[in-house]
Amino acid sequence: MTVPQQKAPDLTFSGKSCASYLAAPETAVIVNLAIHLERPLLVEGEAGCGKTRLAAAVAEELELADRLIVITVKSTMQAKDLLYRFDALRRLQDAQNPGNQLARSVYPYLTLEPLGHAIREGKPCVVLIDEIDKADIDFPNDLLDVLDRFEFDIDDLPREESDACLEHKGFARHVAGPLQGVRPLVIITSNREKQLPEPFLRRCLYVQLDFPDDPAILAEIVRRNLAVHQEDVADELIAGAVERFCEVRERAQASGAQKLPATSELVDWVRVLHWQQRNSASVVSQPLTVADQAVLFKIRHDLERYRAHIAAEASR
Amino acid sequence: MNDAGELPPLLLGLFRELRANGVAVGVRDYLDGLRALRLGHGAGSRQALRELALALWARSEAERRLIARWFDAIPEVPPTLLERVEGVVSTLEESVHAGTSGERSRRTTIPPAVPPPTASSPGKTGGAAGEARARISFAARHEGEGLPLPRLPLAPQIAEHYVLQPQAAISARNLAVLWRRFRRSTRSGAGAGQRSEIDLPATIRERCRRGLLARPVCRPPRSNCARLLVLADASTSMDPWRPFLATLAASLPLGRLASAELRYFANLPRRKLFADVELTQAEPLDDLLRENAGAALLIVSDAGSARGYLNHRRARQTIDFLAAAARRFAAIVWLNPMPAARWRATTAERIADAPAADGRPRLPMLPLDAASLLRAVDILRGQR
Repeated sequence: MTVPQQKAPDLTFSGKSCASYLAAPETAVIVNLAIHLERPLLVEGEAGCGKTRLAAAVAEELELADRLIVITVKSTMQAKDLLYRFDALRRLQDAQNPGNQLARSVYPYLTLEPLGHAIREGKPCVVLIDEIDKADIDFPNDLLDVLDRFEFDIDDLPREESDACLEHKGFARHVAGPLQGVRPLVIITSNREKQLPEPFLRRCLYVQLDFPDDPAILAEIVRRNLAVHQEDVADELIAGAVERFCEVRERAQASGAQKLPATSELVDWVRVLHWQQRNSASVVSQPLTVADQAVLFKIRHDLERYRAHIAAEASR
Repeated sequence: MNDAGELPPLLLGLFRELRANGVAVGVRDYLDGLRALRLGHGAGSRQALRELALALWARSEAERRLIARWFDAIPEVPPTLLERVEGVVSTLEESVHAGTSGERSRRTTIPPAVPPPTASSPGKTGGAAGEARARISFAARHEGEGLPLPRLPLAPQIAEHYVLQPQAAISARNLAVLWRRFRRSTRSGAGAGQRSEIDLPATIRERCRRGLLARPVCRPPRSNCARLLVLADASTSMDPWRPFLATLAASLPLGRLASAELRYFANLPRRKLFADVELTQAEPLDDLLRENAGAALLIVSDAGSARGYLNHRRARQTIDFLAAAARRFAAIVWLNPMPAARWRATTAERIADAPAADGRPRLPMLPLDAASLLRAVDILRGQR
């Protein structure tokens, strides 16, 4: 390599050492890029493929599990709701009492919200902004500048109160991390319900989580997830279930299902099989029971298509 | 490659290629590429470098294809060259390990006659931070020396580029952003049923008048009362723009308009309009015009210009319709998806050039491009 080597930061994500999550090597590469370049990471992929779980896994492996900040986006949310909150109603209430000096200023009613707090602290942490596509289409654009520079202004705070706010609350009108601070790792998930703006995509690193095709990896994922529930499931049953599941998924794909069963459905299914005390042989050979179908298919239309597909195969 | 900070030729060439193809990669993306390389990403093999480039710079399928094409076009490194490079690196490393510890790295220059740059010396970089590393320079000391930057062949194999994947002229998102420009903000619009927003001046007045405040005074929140009726041509000559019409339909609910309705017609609006693009669910035109009186009207049609027809009767009927509509609608815009140069000597030109009755401004017929769309929305909101 002709570029001079710098010492890489110690934080590296391998994707393998988390107790309940297994990340693909390609995913780990991009996560590491995001960590080292301090850029936000946009995660997309099928529903049930572990987009949200990725953030927890990254936090766990970087030993930041207690510093994982989860922000679930709601449709009414604005970008500034992630940064700070101004309690105007409390202030109005307090202002009813003419003797209340507190209500004369704005800063006592300001609090930093999770992302704002993480930016000010400048300590390593993982911020998960979950399902960004649920918000209004202006939301990512408003967030763009904040995720770019990791600093923001509190517009509701009058400039003359900035010093008082710094003294009492520890932050001024302009909030930025300390000089030697570390930027938080921001992980954003999207279900592609809305298209994200081009500048936003440019700013983020992008990773697409695909459904793992390799049965061995699937079995490992199931094993890790079941270990968390402390359920002792026979390897044989897992192997049988994975084999059958791949078959079902293939058929569902062929029948044009809208929502294919993914890893989360597989894990649930294996747990159901375990509770029902079924064995590997019966899972592989027998048709799906009603309970199996209910676990694997989430949309009625998909289930009907799947059944029709099976019937058509049988009659052939 | 020099220490001043430049991407190795392979990535630099790719970066230039991306720029040349209109991909919006900027200075920051370039610097991020440098940083990533310095941190040891993309080292080890060409595949790793390719993955790095994809992760850093590709955001769409087209960009991914471009990067893949780039790496495919670079010839494989002959194994003999690889061996030579490995040999040079290992001897250098040995000498560095054996030599004085003060000397951290040494440079050597491979004769510039070798074909493509390996960019990274495979298998030998990455990791081992702090250890003495041998470094090889592929770069020239002066301009014009050293390895040339790889380029993609300019002309593709066939004479023209065919885009075989259907691509939307404009995304629903961008259209929705345009609709949001079309705003008429009032506090008593159709959607402002309940009083849910605090009226500060009124609250303070109330407080001063009574001496205490029982409850804050509320007012309806501001809402958009702009209404839009879109009439889209769904005849066969408009088939190439079916995806655009679908995008248009999808974008209307996102536009936060008080009401946005879309109806279809074939060739020109006659007595019936249709709620679906297959033209099966008919509605009387008069009812629709009455319901939407005072709204803005957007017409999307090629008006015969797609096939280059000139039909005087159709032009006259369309002009009559427009004259009738002008009495009911606040503003009318015609969006013609054909380029303006193709309107000449067709029905579209007749309609566009028809003089408007009683001193009204002439009907604006606009082509389908970014600037015109912006102007169309400006006209719809009353700014001519």
